[in-house]
Amino acid sequence: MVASVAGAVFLLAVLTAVLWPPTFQSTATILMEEPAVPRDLVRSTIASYADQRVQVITQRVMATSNLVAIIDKHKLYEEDRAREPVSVVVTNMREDIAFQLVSADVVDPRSGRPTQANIAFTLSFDYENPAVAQRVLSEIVSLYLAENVRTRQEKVAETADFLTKEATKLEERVTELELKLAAFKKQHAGSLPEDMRINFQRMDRSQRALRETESKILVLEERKIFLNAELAQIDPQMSFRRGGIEDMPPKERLKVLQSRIISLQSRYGPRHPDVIRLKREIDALEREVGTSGSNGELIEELSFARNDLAALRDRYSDAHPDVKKARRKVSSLEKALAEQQKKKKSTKASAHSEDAVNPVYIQLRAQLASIDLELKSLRSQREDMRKKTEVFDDLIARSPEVERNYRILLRDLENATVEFQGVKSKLTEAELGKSLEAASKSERLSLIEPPLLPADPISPNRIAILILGFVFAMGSSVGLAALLEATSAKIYGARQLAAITGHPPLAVIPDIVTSSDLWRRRVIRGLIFGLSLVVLVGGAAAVHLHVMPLDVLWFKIERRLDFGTIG
Amino acid sequence: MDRVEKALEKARLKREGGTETQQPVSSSDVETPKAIIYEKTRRQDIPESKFQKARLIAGSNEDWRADTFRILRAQILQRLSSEGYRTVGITSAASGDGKTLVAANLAISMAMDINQTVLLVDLDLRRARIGNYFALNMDYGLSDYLTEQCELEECLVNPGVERLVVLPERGSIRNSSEILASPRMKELAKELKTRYADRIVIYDLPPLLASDDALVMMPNLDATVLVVQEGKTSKTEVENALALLDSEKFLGTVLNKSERREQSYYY
Repeated sequence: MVASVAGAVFLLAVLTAVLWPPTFQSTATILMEEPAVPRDLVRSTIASYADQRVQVITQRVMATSNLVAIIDKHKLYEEDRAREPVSVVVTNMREDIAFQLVSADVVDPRSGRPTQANIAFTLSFDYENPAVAQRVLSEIVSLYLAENVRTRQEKVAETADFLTKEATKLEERVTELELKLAAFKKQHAGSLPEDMRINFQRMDRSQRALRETESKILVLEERKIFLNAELAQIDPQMSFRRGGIEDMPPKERLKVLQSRIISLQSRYGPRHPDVIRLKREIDALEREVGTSGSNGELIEELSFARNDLAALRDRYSDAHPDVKKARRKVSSLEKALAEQQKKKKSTKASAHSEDAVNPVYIQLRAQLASIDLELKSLRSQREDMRKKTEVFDDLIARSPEVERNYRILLRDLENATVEFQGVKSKLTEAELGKSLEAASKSERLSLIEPPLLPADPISPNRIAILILGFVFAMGSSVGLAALLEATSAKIYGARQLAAITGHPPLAVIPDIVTSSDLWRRRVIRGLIFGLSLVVLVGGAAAVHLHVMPLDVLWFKIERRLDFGTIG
Repeated sequence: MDRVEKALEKARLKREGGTETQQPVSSSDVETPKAIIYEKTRRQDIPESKFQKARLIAGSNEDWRADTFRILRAQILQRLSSEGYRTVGITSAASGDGKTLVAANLAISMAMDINQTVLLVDLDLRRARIGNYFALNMDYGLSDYLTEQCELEECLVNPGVERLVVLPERGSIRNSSEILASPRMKELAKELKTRYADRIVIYDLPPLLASDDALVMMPNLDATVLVVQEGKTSKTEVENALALLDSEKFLGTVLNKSERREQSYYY
């Protein structure tokens, strides 16, 4: 029984070896080339590794739609198509397409050490028909090459696009910030950090000037006091009062009369006949002299009267007649003075110098006047300077805050500018990369070994099947025997029996068969033999007649086994 | 024709004495085989062809298979004589191992040897085969004797083989173990053993694992032999059988239906 099993197994192996349909494999090799323009010179924006990209391309090429198109075009797997859904057929087809990277020992250009790098890859396609295998592989190869170019161009275009957009954005921002900065500068002109030095200098100067002016003022005021003191000691009319009033020149007489009328007016009032008579006289004199308009005496009188009034008020109350009199005097003097002022409007002569007759007095007076003028201008100057200093102070006070904001703005602008510059340079590179791709000067795939028409099938290895079948038959028989022994553990042979019992058997009796048994066995064997012979001959005849002539079949089998291609 | 004369004389003596006797062998008669005269035992001559058909080939001189039985015979006789045993039971682990055939052939082979006579007893009461093998016409069987329905002499048969007497069984008895355990059986066994000094009794026992008959008989036996069929008996069966057998009485095993001719010494 074991032998028959072995025989059956071997027969199966033989049938397999002979009948199994062959598979042919077509192979192509594609080289992954380094870019024609050195990488350091122009860096392509595609930064991925070559083999990684090729894997990506593989995924795209092996897409179901592509494969279905190929299957339809070349009418592949017709029987399978009838039985199974397309997706299953495509999956099976993918297994028949093999992609393999080829590596080589290279020297890494950067580190100088020898490493392994993938320089190429092979594609192969298995099919039962060699011509079809070659055609299909050609198509797959062209898909690869086309896809590679497309992928790279796409990627580069995308990068350039993106960078352009970014650059525009950044440019806008920079402009915006520049405007902001300008506005700020305008708004805070003078408080800006760059103005500070000037501000301080100016402030310094104005403060100095102010101080100078103030000191000048002080000096002048002192002088004025001095002069006033001197003036107080001098009588403005003193050196010219010699005779009576008729001896005096008309001018002098007029002055005396004028002062006299005032005192009269105050004593008697304006309607008194003496007052009227005196007035007539004064008018005549005035006509004579002309309106000289010297009211220096009036002013003197006025000041004396004011003094008197003040003294009286100190002593008496306002209702006292002396106080009233004094007041009337002051007011009439003021009136007369006012009249005289009106008459003297056109004349611009210095009142002091015309009314006074004492030259020293006049001189002093003149000096005082000039000092006053100067003081006035100095004072206004001082005011100006003070104002200016205040302005500077204010500017300087505001500067820290301004400086802070200014610096912020400046920094933002700088950052934006730097960013913008960066993006711009990248964009330039990307544009270059684009032109690299367009000119195919970057990395590319090139076909160095086109798909060949396979002459011999790659599988099955028929000799190997036969040998293996033989070995397996042997093995299976051994295994079967062992299995039998293991499962049933029947005793075979005296040795086994001896092993169990500890002694060899007393005797070994053979199977006693009678002649009738023998005869029966022979008959059966004969029948089987005859029958199988009939079947064999009949089968051969049938094959010969209906399938193909036997000698042709023999040649085919011989070809299939093809003893020249072991392994 | 000394032999014939001697035989006739013996017969006369027997008629007078009524017992079966054996003449002592004189030194001058060492070559002549002993002749056993069965006076009471029925004789039935079975033709050789029937023997052949029944696969009882041990009596043949040309058949190489008979040699194997000769070997077995020699082994057993040696062991029996060394211990002084005279009864041996042939059994197997399971039924269908071929023990009955072995027992029958062994009995024939032993009967060929002139040194002893053989009594073959069929104790497989449930499936008695020996009568069939020898193609005997059985009026009575062992069970008839054990149930006191007949005398022993009526059951014994000589099948035409010198020095061989068969005690067959006729029917198939259900309560075999009770019968075998009866005192009558014990007595029979004792008698069969002690009656003749040079008679070997071979008991064809039922399979050990099929029933307890063999075990019941065990005390009545001197020795046991286990028949194992190659390719059929499993190791466990053999181990179980050995466990049941009394190791002191166990002589050994016989490998039956072996496909290999272990010894093909053509001689």
